[in-house]
Amino acid sequence: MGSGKKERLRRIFDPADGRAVCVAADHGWMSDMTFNVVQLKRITKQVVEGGADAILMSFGQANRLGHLLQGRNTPALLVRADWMNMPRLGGANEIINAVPVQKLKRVAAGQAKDALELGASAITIYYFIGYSDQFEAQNVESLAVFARECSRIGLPCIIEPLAVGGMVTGLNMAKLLQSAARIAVEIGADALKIPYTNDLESFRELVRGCEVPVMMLGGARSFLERDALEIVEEGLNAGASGVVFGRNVTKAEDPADMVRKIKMLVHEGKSVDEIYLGTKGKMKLKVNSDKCTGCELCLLACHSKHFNTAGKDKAALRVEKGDVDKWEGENPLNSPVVCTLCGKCIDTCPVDAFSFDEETGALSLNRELCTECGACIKVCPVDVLKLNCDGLIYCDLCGGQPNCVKWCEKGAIEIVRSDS
Amino acid sequence: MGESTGKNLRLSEFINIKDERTLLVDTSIAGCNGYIGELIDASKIIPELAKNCDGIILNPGQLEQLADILPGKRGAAPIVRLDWTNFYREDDFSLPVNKVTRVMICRPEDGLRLGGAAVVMRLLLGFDEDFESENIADMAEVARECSRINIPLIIDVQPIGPKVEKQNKRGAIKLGTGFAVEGGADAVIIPETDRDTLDTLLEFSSVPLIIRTENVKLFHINEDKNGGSNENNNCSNDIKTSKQEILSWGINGYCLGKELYKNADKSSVEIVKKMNSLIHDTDVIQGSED
Repeated sequence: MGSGKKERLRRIFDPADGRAVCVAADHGWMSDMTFNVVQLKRITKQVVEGGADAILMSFGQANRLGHLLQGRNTPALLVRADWMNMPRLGGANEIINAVPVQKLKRVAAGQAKDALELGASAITIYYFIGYSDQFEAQNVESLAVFARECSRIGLPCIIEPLAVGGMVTGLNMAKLLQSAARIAVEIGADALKIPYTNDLESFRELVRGCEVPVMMLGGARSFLERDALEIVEEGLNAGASGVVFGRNVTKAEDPADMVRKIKMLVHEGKSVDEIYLGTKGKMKLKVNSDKCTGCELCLLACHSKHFNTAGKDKAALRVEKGDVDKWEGENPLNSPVVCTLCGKCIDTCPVDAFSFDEETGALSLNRELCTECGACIKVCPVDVLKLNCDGLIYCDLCGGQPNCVKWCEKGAIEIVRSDS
Repeated sequence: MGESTGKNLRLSEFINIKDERTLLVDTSIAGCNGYIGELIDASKIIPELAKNCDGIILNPGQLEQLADILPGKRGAAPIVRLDWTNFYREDDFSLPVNKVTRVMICRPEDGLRLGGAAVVMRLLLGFDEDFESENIADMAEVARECSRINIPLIIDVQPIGPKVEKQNKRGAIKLGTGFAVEGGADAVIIPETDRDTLDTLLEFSSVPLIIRTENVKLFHINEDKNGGSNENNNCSNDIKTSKQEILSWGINGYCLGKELYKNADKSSVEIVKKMNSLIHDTDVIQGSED
């Protein structure tokens, strides 16, 4: 690999860890004008603020918004050098896909030298596999033209294999992506941008077969931000060198914050739990009643975490359902009730079986000492201690990563730490 | 990175730098259908039209023919049409159209050499996938060439294919404008549409937006032969008010096309004059002070 390519790849992949957090902002070039397309300028500023390593744009937007990337610590520019109509395949509805298509098409949108002149650090191009033999052959021919040009001018070529079409099934998807990844490298890819294969082992094999940096896609926007990040965590564990997130960033409420979270995973080696629950200081739970919908997912989360079965009856918290007749505020109907760590159970226990965990600050029970006398239950001011055939049920804050907090998508229960 | 001086200078030849507005007159229909209406006397009518607008769209051959008699800096800047289509041929054309086609007839470099201040090409939406992707590929290739040689590219978005009907026309206009801007257009011509769609496009687009209007007949006669008002005046003023209101929303002007020449009364120059004064705010709407 020539020095031009090496130097430009180092603008994308942090030389300190060889990883990259990229944001794809090229959707308006290929699909309907959704709000993230309309507000691309604002979103680009936020992506820069979040500290992404690179941002992918169409030629037109790169020309117009490229000035936002000026400076040393700003994202590198990736230019989408082709166009396709895949997002518009299929039916239409009133919101999206104004002009649907039935046949997949892909064409070049320029040459690599045009991207280089714009100041790009790489081009990105599609490689479709699974649609038809002829379509794939045309695609490969085009990739080869780009790859040879990129080699001549020292510009990295990022290929994005996608398994799309009637020949693609759930059964062969992972294998197809593995093959496509390797074919892309053989043709001349300097890095890959590829969907996750949906399991750790097959993605690990895909990465092993490439020997170029592999960035996994964020895919369609996840319902929960956390879900999107958990896939990233899995991909990184399988050997991915980073991510290319599109709609999960550009459609996020706070794109800068989302980029920061992805960076924590990719560059700081944090886990998703650590991002959401934090890592330092003694903790306790805080309830935000106004956010509680009364869904009782927290009860399920607690029960399943401690007993590995589905149910709510063994949860160490409860949900108080509000009285509709007394409803006055915006949402005072429901409220989770959690252990407040008041310590009355510790003071009351006749055998000193309860104590506070030194590390997390949570309640800790020595079951060998506990006689199950029920004294603690009687004094608990919030009524969250229970006794059943499994012994005393109490909140141990799940060892520092409370499952109720993790599962509550509304944020009705959160963690507060003594050092925060 | 960023727009070039060359492109900015050329854009300012037909987008007034004081009010950022423009009136374009498109004569290129004659390259698709042969002459229509007043365009039969090209050497007579086109220079007259050019004296009264900001930019005049010409096919390359016609620009070469008329170069000596166009008004130069005292009139419209020439804009070179890069493509051709048979789409506009209607039932009265000598041959039936069996298949809609669109081809390139000239490159941006030719447009620059001919003295064009910009080049313009169509993005026809609503046709089959092969047709659309070829159009996109041509547009992208032209956009890259325009960037290399610093000539502005105007994309003329026309959602006119069979896949576009009334219910998806606004979506198609947005889709086409998105393709145009992301593809590298320096200005976009769009069809007339509603306020919501325009608001979205204005929020999205960082390039001038120009509306193609075929609704010109009400500009024809708003005075009778003695200079007094006639019964069409109220209607005419409504249209003018509407066009001025749309301008006030933030669009950069209008483009007049084939409907302009169809009138038997040879009034195209007058219409262009009136439209020009309306766009650049020198017009007083009759009765608007009431």
